Amino acid sequence: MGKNIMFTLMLIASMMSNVEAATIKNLERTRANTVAVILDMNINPNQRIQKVEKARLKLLDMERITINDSKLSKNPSQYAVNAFENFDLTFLVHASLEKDKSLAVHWFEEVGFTTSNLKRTKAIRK
Amino acid sequence: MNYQNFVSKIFLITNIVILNTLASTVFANVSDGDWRPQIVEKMFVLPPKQLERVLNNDFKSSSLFLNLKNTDNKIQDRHKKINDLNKAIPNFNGDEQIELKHQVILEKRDYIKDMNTRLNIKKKHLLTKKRFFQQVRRKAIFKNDIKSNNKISSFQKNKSMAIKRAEKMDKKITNLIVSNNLNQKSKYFNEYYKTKKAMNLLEKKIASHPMFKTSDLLTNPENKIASLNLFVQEIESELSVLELKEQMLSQMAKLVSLDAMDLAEVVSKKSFDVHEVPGEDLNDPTNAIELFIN
Repeated sequence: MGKNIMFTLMLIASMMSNVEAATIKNLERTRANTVAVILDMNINPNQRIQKVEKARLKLLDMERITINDSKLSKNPSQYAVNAFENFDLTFLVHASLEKDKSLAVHWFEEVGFTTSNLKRTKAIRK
Repeated sequence: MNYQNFVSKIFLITNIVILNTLASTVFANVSDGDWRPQIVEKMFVLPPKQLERVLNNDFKSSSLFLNLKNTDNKIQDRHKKINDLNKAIPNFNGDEQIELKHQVILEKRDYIKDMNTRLNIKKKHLLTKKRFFQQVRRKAIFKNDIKSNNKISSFQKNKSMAIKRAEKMDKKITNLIVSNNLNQKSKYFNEYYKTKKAMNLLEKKIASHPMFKTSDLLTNPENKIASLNLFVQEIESELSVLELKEQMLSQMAKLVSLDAMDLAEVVSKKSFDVHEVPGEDLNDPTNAIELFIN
């Protein structure tokens, strides 16, 4: 009996959390896949361009769905709050188009992998 | 007119005097009907003006409104009757004139009674309305407080910024798709543009709607509290006008009781005049002296 109640409560809780952050989680999953394609060492540049372009359209849809999701405003989780605070990192396609840069370059710049930063790095032995 | 009749009239007139002096306390106890606004919670989101219209319609179906209407009719009838009686008084003399004056006083007493009932009903109506608007105001303030909650408000700010930035990019994205000849557009992609176009048309239509400009709730939700405050203020001023009318009514009651006292005086004077024994007062021993002398 007790186990049943616990199970029901857990199910309800999991359903509620899914409803609340489903769009953000989907976006994050697609974004992670896109970044994985950008960083994939096992594909050649042409394949990367094609795969990134394909992922970009999917990511664009996800970004739009998240931005226009009115359910998020009712009781935003910390996850959602953080996502909207960092627009440039969360909504990669929109932000890259805003800056007229490619998706990969934009992401590298946002996380700090710029050419000048890399040039300034030194190989040291500890 | 016999003595008994006069006594009963004096008794009635004295009753009027007592009733009128206690007018405010006695009449207040009369049941005036009831009104409990049957407005569903969903209606609370309506702009105050429309809400008042709904509230007035609700009032019209209450027993309080029915009593108000009945009292209004009674007052109009009495007003006409008093006018007619006042016009008729100069055409009569003696007992008939006294009888008419007596009727006027009785009608005036009932007029004041009805007027008092009307004022009580009106007061009840305004107080219920005031309580209702105060309740709506409390809810609006509560909702506003939730909206101004720090976490939610900063999120809302970020979200609306994100929407604006995304909308700016819409044209750029379409151009990009067209220039790159990308045919792998998703279902959402196509639906998004269709819906966005329809939404823009609807938004334009809403913005140009005459009621949108007049409705302060739609243009600015914070204005709802201000306009509700204005409504409550107006009701309070109406209530103070009612209090002034009540004061006027008590003055009217005083005047009627003075008229009644005057009439009672006239009637009693006349009654004593009738029963006064004409000729010598036999109770005086000086007048009986002749009996003993002869």
